[in-house]
Amino acid sequence: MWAHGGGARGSDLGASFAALGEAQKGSRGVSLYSRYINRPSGRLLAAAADVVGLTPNQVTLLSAAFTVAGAALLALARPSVTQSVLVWLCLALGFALDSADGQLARIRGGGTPAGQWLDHVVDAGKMVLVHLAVLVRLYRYTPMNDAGLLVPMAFALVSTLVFTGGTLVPLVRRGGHEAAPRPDSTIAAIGLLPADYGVFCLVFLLGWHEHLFFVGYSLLLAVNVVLMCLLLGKWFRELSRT
Amino acid sequence: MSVNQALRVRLIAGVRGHAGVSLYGRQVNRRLGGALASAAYRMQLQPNQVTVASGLTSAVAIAVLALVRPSLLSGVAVWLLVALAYALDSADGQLARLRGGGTVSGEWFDHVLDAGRVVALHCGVLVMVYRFYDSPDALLLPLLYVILASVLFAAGTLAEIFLREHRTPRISIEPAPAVTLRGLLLLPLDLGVLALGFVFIGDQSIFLGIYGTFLVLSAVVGTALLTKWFRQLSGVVPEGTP
Repeated sequence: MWAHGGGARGSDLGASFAALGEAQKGSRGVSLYSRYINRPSGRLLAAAADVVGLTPNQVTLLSAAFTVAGAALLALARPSVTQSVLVWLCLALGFALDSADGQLARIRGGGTPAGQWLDHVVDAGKMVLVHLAVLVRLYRYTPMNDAGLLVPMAFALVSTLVFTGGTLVPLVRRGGHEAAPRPDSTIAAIGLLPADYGVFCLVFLLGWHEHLFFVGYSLLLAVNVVLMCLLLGKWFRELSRT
Repeated sequence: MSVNQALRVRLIAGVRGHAGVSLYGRQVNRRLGGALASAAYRMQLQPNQVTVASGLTSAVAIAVLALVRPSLLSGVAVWLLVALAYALDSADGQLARLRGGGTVSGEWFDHVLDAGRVVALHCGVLVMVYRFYDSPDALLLPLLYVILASVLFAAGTLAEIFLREHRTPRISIEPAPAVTLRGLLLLPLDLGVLALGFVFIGDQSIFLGIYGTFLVLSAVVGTALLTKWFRQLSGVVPEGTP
């Protein structure tokens, strides 16, 4: 069971980490948060997982476990500063592990279709789970107009549309293969920040304050609605040219 | 051969395999979709226009769920609208095949709208239960259903795309039996069958009983399907491996 593909199965953290430097994906369509925070943390976690001997799929499931824990804490625990920080930590760690599984797969000699599938399926669940947890939290702990409860439902819808659209673009175009990366664009990377899950998770640090949190969350939804329209239009046009 | 016969021959020739399709999907929905596709073909509609029509019909169904006090009348309306949206969803693909093959952007658009419908439909039920039923505990049912249905939708769509790419499809020439165990087992996951349950929204306890039963059955069948897809994909040799 140690014969997980060839190459650099590191015996120590340093070697694993170095091997990971060469196992990065392209950064097109990736926001600055992902590029400078999530991927490096994922890289560290992948190196650690490699040393411990975890498989990429185990890392994916660990990522799902942290996300579920964060969502449960958000929905069920009374809002406080500690709770807010813990929610953010769980969700951010879940996101970093989500980046780690792919990086680990690449140093183990390449990902498998089953691994890639599991990764996407967990992400799809995450897109609705987190917003439904917000819905439960608002319902239970925030005295507000009923219309406010529509905000997390709308966010779940928007996230699902953007996630499905973005995930399927390379898959339908190349028939199951991820497209080759194209050059970076810093403007796109800045523009995509609000759509980045890692940036989105930062709003949970406001969770201790019922109104600040709701305002921040609603603003993120507004920006994401605009980004969704732009992205879906762009993807459709790109695919129409294929 | 009359135009009708010619269309029918082309429709049958273009019908996809039925491995992953429930009894309702195969016996009812595909036929309705075929009839709608023939009509759309004669009206010279584009497949994407049919997809949009399906999305709009779903949106009206969800609006009725969320806004109108549940009754037998509104229940029948929701059933008919959801069933129509589902048939149109089958019609767009059949229309594309009638016109000599679908486009990549058309397939993408279809999947993205479907993913959105899964979230929006169960959110519509959630709003209905919140506004018109007097059972706060029942809110958990649509909440769990959104997550389960989204995960299963993503898993099924991605498994189909990955397997299509990595395996040559086996096309069976022999007609399959009309009723298969598989077709029966997949019934609870079928939107057309769930749609029938909406007829009973006027009676809180009957509808919650039906909806809850569907949720439990979907969880059981869904777990089996997730395991099956993961195994199937694990048997796939990734590209570029000797």
